[in-house]
Amino acid sequence: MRLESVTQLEELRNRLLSERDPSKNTIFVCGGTGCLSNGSALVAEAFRDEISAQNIDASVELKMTGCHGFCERGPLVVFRPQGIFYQKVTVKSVPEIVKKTIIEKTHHEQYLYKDPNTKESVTHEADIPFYKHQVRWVLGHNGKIDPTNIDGYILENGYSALSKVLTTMQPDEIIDQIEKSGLRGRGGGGFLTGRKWRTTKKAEGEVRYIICNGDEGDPGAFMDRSIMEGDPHGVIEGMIIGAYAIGSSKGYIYVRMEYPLAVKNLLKAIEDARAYGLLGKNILGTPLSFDIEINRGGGAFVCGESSALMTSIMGKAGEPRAKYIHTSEKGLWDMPTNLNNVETWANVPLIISNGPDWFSSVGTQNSKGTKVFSLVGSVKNVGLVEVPMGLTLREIIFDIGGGIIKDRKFKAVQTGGPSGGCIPEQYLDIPVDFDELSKLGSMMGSGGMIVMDENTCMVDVARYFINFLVDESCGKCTPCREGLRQMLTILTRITKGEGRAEDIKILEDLGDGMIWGSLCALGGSAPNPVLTTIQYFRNEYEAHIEKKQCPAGVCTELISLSINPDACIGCRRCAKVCSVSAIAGENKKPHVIDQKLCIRCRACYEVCPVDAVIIT
Amino acid sequence: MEIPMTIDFSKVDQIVQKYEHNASKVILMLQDIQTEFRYIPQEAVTRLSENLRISESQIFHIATFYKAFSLTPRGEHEVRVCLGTACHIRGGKRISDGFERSLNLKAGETTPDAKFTLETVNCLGACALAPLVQVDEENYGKMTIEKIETVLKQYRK
Amino acid sequence: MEDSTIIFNGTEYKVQKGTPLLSIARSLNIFIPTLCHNDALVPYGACRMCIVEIQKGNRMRVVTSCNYPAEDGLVVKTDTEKVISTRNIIMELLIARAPKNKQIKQLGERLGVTKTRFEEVGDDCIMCGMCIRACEEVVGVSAIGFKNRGITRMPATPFMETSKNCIGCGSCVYVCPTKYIKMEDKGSQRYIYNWKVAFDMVQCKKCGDFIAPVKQLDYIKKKVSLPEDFFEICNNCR
Repeated sequence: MRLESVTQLEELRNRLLSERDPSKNTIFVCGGTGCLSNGSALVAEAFRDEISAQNIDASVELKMTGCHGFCERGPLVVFRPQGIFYQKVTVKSVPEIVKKTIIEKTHHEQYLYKDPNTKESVTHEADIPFYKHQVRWVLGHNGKIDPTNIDGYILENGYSALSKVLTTMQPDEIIDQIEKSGLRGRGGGGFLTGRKWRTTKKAEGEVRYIICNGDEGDPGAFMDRSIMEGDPHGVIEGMIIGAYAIGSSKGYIYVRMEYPLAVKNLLKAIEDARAYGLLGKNILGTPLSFDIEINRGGGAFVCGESSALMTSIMGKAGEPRAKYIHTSEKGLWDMPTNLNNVETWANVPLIISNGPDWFSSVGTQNSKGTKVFSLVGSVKNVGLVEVPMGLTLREIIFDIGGGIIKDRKFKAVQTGGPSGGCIPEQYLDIPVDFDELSKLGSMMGSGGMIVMDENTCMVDVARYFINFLVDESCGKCTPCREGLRQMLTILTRITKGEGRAEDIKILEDLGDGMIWGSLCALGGSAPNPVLTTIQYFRNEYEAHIEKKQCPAGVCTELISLSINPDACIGCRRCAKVCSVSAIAGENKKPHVIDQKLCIRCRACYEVCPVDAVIIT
Repeated sequence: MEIPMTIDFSKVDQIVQKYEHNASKVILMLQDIQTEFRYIPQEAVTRLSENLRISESQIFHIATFYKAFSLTPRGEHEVRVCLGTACHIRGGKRISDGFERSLNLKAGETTPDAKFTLETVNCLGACALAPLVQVDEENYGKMTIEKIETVLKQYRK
Repeated sequence: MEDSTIIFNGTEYKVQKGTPLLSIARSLNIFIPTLCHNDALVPYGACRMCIVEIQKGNRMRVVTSCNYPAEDGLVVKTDTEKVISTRNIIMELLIARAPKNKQIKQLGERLGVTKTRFEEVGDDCIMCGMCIRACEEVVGVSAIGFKNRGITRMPATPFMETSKNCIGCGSCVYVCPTKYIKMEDKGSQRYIYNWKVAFDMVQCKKCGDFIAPVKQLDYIKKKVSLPEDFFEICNNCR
């Protein structure tokens, strides 16, 4: 079924469009990793069985899609064309949902989304605050197509940007458009994409390579996972356009090994694209030949760094190298190599289809377009959000995120993963863009946004990130390897109540040495979480060091737990989770924690249904 | 734990063949070897070195650099507790400690009966379900200490 | 061809484009400390001691001079406040890593850093990689390599066992800046303890001195196509 020309592709598209029955009901079940973990595959099967049982196969079809983004509410199911959104769908609820939605043409109230603030049910997806404020361009296909079906992608205008490019544009024109759009790298570097393409194109070398960086290693970030799982063809189309523009015939997609579903869906997409002649020799009958290979990561965060990633593709340990000579000039096997992040590639077909002005009409002066963020932590609505650059932190966290869970107080938001910093309350109204976040000592990074409330200890957060990096440092250069080790030692002492008066100054000096002296950005940006927490939460460090106190009630050595006898209902849940059997009491009578045995793990605090456990 | 005295070299040769003897694909070959044998046997490294003409030192570095590989056999089931930021904030460490107690070992170790290996990992990308535990390919979200035994029981039979 | 003009510590020089800044400094007798650099090896950029401050246009950066290529219009400064403070922190980290090491102490004294605020680690290996690089790039046997990553990274033989490929040439010993690699010639045997190897040495047929390990000389004979009996007489007697 190879398509031998652009005309044939368009003929296929038209045929698929004409075959589509607009009156048909479609049930979209989310098949992203999050919902799958919650059993959405079984839910999908239940829907298929019910459709069969009710004999409505002719008018109802089911599609398993990529990640819808609202992961905490999964399994998610959307009925279109009605646009009715169901959350936390169980296998048992399926028959009633089908009955109410399809047959009775109304909806099943119980499984609708309920706004945690207004307590009202919202029937339609477009009205849910989480989705209403989003501008879903890159995530446009997620939730609407079956990622394992290439026809579904073509039906939604997929590969039309490629058609446009192959019939009406020259390579330099394409680069012009990308430059004009103002697209900046979405993986963390924020480098102008068009400029990178141009450098790679002009560089000397017999061959040129294209790479898609899918090694999303920032803890708390899953944007790229969702795009690779849910819209693999979007990434592939972007890469083919890039290959044509830059003059490459070989591409790699490097996917971290912790994303098996992304690998699976990408492999299927590549196979299908090859079958249609959209990858391989003479794409759509044109002189362009380009193919893609998938490389799985080996479990190393540092391989997200471009030179380390390339070293890994070449079959070595992922150690970065000095980039005084850019990888766009000498990358894979010393040839010009263009590396871009998953989200960056996914933006390319949209920019080509809709034009650079469409893209740059949204965003701020120097940060155009949208950005996908993973909004996680202490927010009510946890999930993936895509918003225009320039929206404020407050709008993202409160309007879309619904505010802090249990209506606790907002404390900080961590952006940019281990390379970023913690931003306090006074900056909630800053517009989110590359430069504004950098000014505050943080960075956009890949888009992780971790919201923290009053129960988070900022020293513990700093220690957490340094501990993460100590394990992930490649160990090649002194400042990073030894610096991280020493930072961890100092921060650990502080959290244990063994901090010394000179510790803060030492951390600041060491941080400075690492920023300027490290070989790559892992070591170079590692001090950011430490330095921003010192800058904005110095009082917490001082409390730990001078008073041996943890104001947030987190650091194990500095807290003590007790049970409020007036609140305790004697349900014994705490006693059951206590791993050292430190809690005693009779059934339905107030319980007591034995301070000598208590290891202060806070398990009892987490399970108590009446908040009777007090931390001091 | 008993490490077998010799391995089936034909499996290694097949893997080398699959990647067309391309030395730059040695990491992919090692991934297949890890899946096949549940660890990277020393003899496999020697065999790869001979077949691909790259030094054993280089392969050994790769095998010890990437967390995907282990030099000692991993258990039948791999229990991975996510310690990503979102999971950490929602008590990931406590869950990890809980598994250590239930399996009577420390993270990174394998049970004497070779049934379970416990690992802590850095973010599996399912942050909305924090704290998350992955056993083989299955994810268990919103994990609690109370659920640990229930999860392990499924694999104990 | 000296086609580029750079300003090095305030003075203009004409240099060949692409020359590493470290070479230029040395030709001008300007001292820049190094630990992982050897002219026979490909620049590695790991120790970070050779850092200098550069300015290109209006962008200031701190870069390692061992592998930064000179280009027209570059401004280089070797002893700015930023360079010194950064280098001093690195020196403090190294002293903490190898507190008892004489060579590290000496370097520290030269730079004016005699104490460290950091916790002592106690490992004489500073991870410069010279032993491994020499074995791979100059000798060509790759008997040793790195193991692990991060703070457990270390030079090692495959599986920590007796090295199969080592020929006992001692190149690793000669290049090691902290004398971490221990070699001993005892009678007719050479031991390199770190790699758990022992070698029989070839004895000069004339004077009876021990020349070098059999394995090393066999390797050289093969590589350079020498006659079989070439090393039966030592250099002094030849």
